[in-house]
Amino acid sequence: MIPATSLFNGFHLARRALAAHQTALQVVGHNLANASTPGYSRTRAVLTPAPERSGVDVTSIERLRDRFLDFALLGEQQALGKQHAQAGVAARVQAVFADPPGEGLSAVLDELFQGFQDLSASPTDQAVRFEVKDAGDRLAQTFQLMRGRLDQLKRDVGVEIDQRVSEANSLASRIAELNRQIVGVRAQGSSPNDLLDQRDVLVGALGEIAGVTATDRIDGSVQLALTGTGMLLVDGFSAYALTATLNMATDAVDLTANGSVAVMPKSGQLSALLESRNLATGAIKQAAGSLDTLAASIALEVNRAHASGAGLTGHTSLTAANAVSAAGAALTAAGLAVTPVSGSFSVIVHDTSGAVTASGSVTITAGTTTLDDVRTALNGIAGLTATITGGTLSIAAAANRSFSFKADSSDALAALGLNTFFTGATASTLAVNTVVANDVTRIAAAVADAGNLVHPGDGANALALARLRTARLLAGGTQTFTDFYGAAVARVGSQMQTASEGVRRQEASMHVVQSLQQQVSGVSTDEEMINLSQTQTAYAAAARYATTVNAMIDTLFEALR
Amino acid sequence: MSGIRVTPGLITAQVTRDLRASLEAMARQHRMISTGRRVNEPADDPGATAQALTVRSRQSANAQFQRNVETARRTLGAADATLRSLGDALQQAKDLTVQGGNDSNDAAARQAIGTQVDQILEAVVAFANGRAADGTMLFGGQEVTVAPYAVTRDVNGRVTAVTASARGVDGARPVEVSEGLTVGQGVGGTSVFGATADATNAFDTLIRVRDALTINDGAAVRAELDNLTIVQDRAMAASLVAGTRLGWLDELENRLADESVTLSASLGTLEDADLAQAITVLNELQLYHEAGLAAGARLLRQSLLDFLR
Repeated sequence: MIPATSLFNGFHLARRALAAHQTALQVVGHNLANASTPGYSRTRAVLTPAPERSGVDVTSIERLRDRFLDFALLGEQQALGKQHAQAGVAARVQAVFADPPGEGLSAVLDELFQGFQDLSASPTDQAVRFEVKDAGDRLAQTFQLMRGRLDQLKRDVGVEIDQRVSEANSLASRIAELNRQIVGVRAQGSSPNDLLDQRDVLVGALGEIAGVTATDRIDGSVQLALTGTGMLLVDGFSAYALTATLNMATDAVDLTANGSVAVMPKSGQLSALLESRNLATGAIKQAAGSLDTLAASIALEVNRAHASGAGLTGHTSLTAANAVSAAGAALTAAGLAVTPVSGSFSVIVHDTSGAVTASGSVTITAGTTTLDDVRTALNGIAGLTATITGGTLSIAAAANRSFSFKADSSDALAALGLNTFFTGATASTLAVNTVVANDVTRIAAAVADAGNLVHPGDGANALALARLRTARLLAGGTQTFTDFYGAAVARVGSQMQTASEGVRRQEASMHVVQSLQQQVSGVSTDEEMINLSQTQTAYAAAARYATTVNAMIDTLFEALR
Repeated sequence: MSGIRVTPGLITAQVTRDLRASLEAMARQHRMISTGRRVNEPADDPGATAQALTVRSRQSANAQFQRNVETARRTLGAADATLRSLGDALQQAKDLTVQGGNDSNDAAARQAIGTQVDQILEAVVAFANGRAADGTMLFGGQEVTVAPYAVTRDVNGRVTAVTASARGVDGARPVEVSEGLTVGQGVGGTSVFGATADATNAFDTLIRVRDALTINDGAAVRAELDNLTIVQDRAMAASLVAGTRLGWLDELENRLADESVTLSASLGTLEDADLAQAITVLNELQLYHEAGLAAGARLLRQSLLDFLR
């Protein structure tokens, strides 16, 4: 037989039950109050029967949370951060290339070749010549504008990296501080549930920026390492700062952790931002590279054809647009953007009536011929004086003489910038040669005939220039200028497409994990209402028990009187 | 969904996500309808964007070829008209020569006929140095700015020699009228009048006829009849060439116009939205969106609180 305990113990039991249910009620209230707090995990008062039939105890307040889902969510969050950042950059690159129909680079490119077509049909028409020059200007400006916007984008991404880095650093120190508080609370034997929720939110935010791997430590602190690098960002109560510095030499933003260790995050926004900012295969540099390649190719091919032609009026004096590094160095190794090949070009001297007074050929041998040699050869042609000043070749004709060029098979004229249509060899430097811009009659529409005469009605060179439109000169002779630009636009477009698809896919997969976590940790108001009623009833019952015990004691006292 | 603990937070997230997705789809559809274009940015269809660039470039080239055909036709047309007048003048010269060769003419009559031949010679010289509407020379080859034929006159102002410019009167003036296809818009002077060195050139022949008539040399006049036929045939052949080229240009113009239509059509296929379909899809999306809104509103409103009292 189990002996009954003292009747007075009934009061203890009732007090315990009332206190326990009050706590449980408080937990329900806390849950309800935080029903829509982001990152909040529902809690539950864990009631356990007290030993010796002495009632009930709240042994702990349990935080309903699946730690594995936490880690899964952290992974999804940082992948999404990367996708978002990637999509953001891709959208901005795309904006540079998204031409409304009939505008933009491909349209102005077409206009230039149309201008050459018109010129071939009407070589003597001044208005047509001005139009050709204007089309050249528009093309150069469009290149400069697009290239300028990409450079701006590069700077913007640099600024964004700086901001993200300082956000990440502030998050890391807040997490380290929370670690300290959590360890402290646990040491006192309490459950730091709300602090844990706060820390999870901050870890998620940090992961979204920098991509971190979290490890739980036995004391309750969390250790965070930069994913894929092992560099610690938070360890115990200490946070280690990331630093972003612009490296002008490599045109890259370098990220270092803990003072000096160079790191490259593998996920999170920073990884996408750094990739698109730094890598040659990143969206920005790739797009800029395509523009430069296209501009260089257009400049070279147009100049090559133009240099072998003759304008309505010959040159009386002409200065090369490009200087060599040393007049005594071989032209093929003199720092020219375009490298000449072995070949030759002819120079023809005309009198004021257009009759030929002298002509000569200048031979270029790759690796041998220097600018000095070219000067000597030019000086050997009657009526011409060639000089070199600071690596720049100048040619002047004698009085009442003018000169024209013909049949340059060496690319030397294009390389030196003599009798060219464009100057500059990149998207940001392309411009119409000032010689042509100042005097449109210098646009070389004609080709000197077999007798070296230049005919005003000859549009053969303009036709050769116009035909560059359909010539396959890029990508190993497989693409026209328009094809190449089209491919660049398509690449930018599909990068954007891939990035936004990636965001959608990543959002869906994150949604799955989030739902799973909601299922575990989300507050259900209905559920809490039921808990509330249940707890209320239990509280009322405990109160009634106390009344009953009281009545029993009264009865006992009554009997003893 | 058995065994899943559904919380209001879950429902809220789900409803928000779904509504956002359907709104996004509707916005995309709306943009398609309001611009009439299926491809509004490269990402909408990267392949089609690149193709459209190429097609548009071909379109502009095609328009340029049409313009070139126009230019060539203007220049050739002017030459053709002049060649027809030249043919008439030469026929007249031949008739006069036949008439003047007849020995029934006395010296005075031949003198009179000679004067008429001289007038025809002046006209032919004027034709040779004729200009097109834009001021370029018709028969000077690439020498379009200065008169291709130099005229020497005696003290009486009579033409004694006509010499083609040493800089050439035959240079081709090709314009591109179709991919890789050029047509000469000029007619070379030599093909019309004969080379200066050739004794049977139009000018020398007419000068000889005139001079023979002036000095009343019937035999010499008759001797030039064959030469005149050569002159006539040469001019006729040149006229025929110009006429054929003009006809060909007409044909080309039709072909270019056809191609322009084809190119527009293929651009449409690449870029244009199918409006009927787009609107239908939008309506459908709208229906789903509204249904989603209604369902979401009902779902979120439901709570045990409504029933507890």
